[in-house]
Amino acid sequence: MTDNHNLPELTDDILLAYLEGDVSRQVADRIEHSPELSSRAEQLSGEVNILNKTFHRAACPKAGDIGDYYLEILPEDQRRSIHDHLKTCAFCTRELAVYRMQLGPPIKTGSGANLLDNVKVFLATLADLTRPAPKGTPVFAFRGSETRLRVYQAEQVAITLDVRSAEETPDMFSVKGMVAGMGSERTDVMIWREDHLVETLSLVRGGFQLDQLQGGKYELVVRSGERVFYIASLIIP
Amino acid sequence: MDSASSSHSMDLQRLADTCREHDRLYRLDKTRSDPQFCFELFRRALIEQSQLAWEYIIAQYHDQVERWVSHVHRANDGHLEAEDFVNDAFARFWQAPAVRGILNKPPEALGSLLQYLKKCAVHAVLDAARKFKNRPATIPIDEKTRFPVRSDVRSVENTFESHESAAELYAAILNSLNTEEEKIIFFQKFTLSKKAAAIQNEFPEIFTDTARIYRVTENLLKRFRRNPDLQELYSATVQNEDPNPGGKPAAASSLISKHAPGPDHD
Repeated sequence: MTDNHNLPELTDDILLAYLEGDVSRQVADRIEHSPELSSRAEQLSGEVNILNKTFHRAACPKAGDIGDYYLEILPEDQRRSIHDHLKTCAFCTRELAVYRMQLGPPIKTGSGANLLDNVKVFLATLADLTRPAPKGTPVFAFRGSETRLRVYQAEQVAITLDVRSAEETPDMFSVKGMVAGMGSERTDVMIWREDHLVETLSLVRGGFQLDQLQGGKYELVVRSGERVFYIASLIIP
Repeated sequence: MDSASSSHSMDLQRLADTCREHDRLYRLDKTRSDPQFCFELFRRALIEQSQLAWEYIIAQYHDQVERWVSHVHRANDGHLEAEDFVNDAFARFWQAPAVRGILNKPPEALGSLLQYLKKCAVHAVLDAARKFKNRPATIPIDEKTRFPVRSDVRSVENTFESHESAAELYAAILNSLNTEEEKIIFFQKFTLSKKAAAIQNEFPEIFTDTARIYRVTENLLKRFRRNPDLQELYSATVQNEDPNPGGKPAAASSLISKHAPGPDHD
């Protein structure tokens, strides 16, 4: 079925791409100016929303089991299963970070399981910028006042953030970040606001950029392999 | 200082008083506090199942648990009242097999025991946040309490007849999927709500571009329209929806009729 006989058919896969903002302006215009295509896109969006709501975290371990994993008291098979799940699930990774933040280090009671490869959460804290920067802290394109820079540190890792208001919409902000000390492993960055995952992206050449953020309190999770770095409170701007 | 055997022989009232005193001492100077009394109080409550000992525990630790809960609750954007979480935390602690395991250790494990109680407080808040996100879209929320209005609650679970929970339905659908591509997309897109670009970024060896992800998603959606459980879910959601929110057509009102089942694309 086509809207216009001179143009190729827009199938549902294209409409799904449109819903994710992944089509050209020309295709988007065509959908938005066609009541039939708009209606089909809306129906697809409705289906995806129903499925998202129904299956949201349906495959995740229970929140209590994430806590038991953190406290290192799970049996090995369950521990392994959660360990594998954490590699792909931003939601459970963030819950693990919340446990770390709230509980402090696990108090050992003498269990002897091999926990060397457990995912470890490190709380990244704001560094004192009046002191010399830690070795390896990037000095990338930080234009303008240095007071905008925030450097968070944990272990040998430094997460440097440059928060700026958007040029066209001053009440919106962008965050440019650089992560030093993570090694060559793939590193993902997740930003949260009030229980909602705002965005997940991967580091490219050690850096990342988040745009169109409203002012407010955020959490930042940086994950690489078995290491998670957690900034529990990132106030923007 | 009392000997280790004395805590076992103490009457409950005195044990609770001594526990409270040593809890106070702990806050002032850890080295002057003896963990055996509080540990024994927990042991009587949970191992000997003394209701009165449990009441002393709640009296002793209620305010502490409330502080823990409030801290996480604030950090997580509050939807519910702190007192509900406190009750939930104590209930989870009471039921946890791990607690019995800790109580088989020497009294020095009191720190682990209290850390587990705190874990239960965090768990209560995180669990509520999960349930809040999973609530059906059409549940009205009481503006004063931020609780769902009970009479109108229709959980996702009770829209299914043949599956007890969304997790079971998820597992059943996952098992019915044919390819690794479908399984990845079902998990990443529908349980973790990831966009195609994020999925492609995470699985570049499986998806060389996002177009393939949209195509597989399209096929999944077609197949889901033929799934009796999901048809039921779509219908239930439509029935629960405001018939004409904001004057727009209901998004899912004619999903099944308008999208006649067709063959999957390759």
